[in-house]
Amino acid sequence: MSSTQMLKGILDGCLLALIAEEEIYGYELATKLKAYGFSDISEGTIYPLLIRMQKLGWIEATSRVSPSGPKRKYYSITTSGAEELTAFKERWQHLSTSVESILKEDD
Amino acid sequence: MTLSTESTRFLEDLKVYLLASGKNEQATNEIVLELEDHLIEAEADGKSVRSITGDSPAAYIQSISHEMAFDSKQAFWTIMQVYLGASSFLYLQNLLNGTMTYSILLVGGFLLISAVYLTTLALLFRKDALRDTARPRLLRYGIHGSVHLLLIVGLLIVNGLIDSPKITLYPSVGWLIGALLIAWILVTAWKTKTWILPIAVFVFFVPQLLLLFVFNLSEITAVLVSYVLTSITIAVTFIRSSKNSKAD
Repeated sequence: MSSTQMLKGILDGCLLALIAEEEIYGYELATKLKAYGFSDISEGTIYPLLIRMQKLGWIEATSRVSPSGPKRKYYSITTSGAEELTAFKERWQHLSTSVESILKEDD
Repeated sequence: MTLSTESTRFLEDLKVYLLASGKNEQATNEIVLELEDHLIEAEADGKSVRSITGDSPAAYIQSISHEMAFDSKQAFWTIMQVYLGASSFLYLQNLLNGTMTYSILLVGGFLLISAVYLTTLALLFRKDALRDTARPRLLRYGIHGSVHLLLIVGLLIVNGLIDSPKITLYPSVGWLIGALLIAWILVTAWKTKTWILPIAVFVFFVPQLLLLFVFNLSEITAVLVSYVLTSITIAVTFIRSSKNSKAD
């Protein structure tokens, strides 16, 4: 399995975590993901996920005039998004503990 | 800051694909604007459109489309707008000639051909938006339009040969439908801020009325002159609007 495929399942949670930190817009979000080491995914990958998370009511967007001129969409987390983030953290904790213990056994 | 040709083409393709797939116009404009904003910053940082879309812009466009819901209400009104817009020319011309009788075959056939035309046109737009070559395949649109024009001509011929039940409108009802059609054209133009159809209807019918009743020219001459005037008006409007959108 490629790292891109592995990432797909956990990208939602990572995006939620970044949006929970502060109100953020698309390019900033993509740049932050890269800075955290998600360098092998194309930047546009976040937009279909953002559309889906908005549909699910996890995040909401507000349009504001940006310093560079045009209106820009800023994302913030909703209450149900925060609940989903907590659930994601628990799932991830459980998964990473399980994976780590298997990998340690292999060593 | 202006975008590169490749980025501009990608955004145009994305918009065409989403609208031809029946996605909500406002939601489409929002995602196109958001990606335009992203591309402006990305290009300023020395990145290309491929760093945003991955290796396949076509697959990326489809992944966005997959997440957006089909807007059935908007699709219905778009179909009504195109259908009534196209049939208004035929209906108003008949009204002017005093024809108030319509066969079931003609009305049903026209509806069917229009439905096939719109569906295949939307498919063609979607296919063209995912193309690899830089230029749209204009020849395909030409062939597509010509085939449907031939189908309409075929329908008119068959309608003359085969007898089917007919509906004859009272003149007052016929004129009332004509007035409602014109009102519909004006209201939709005002709502969509697109005045091409009312302008085309005006240029097609007003000179025709003047040539017929003021200058007493023959019906065929009046129709031909109006047809040429309408074609020129539509061509000029399209060229002007494409120049304006390029200037924007």
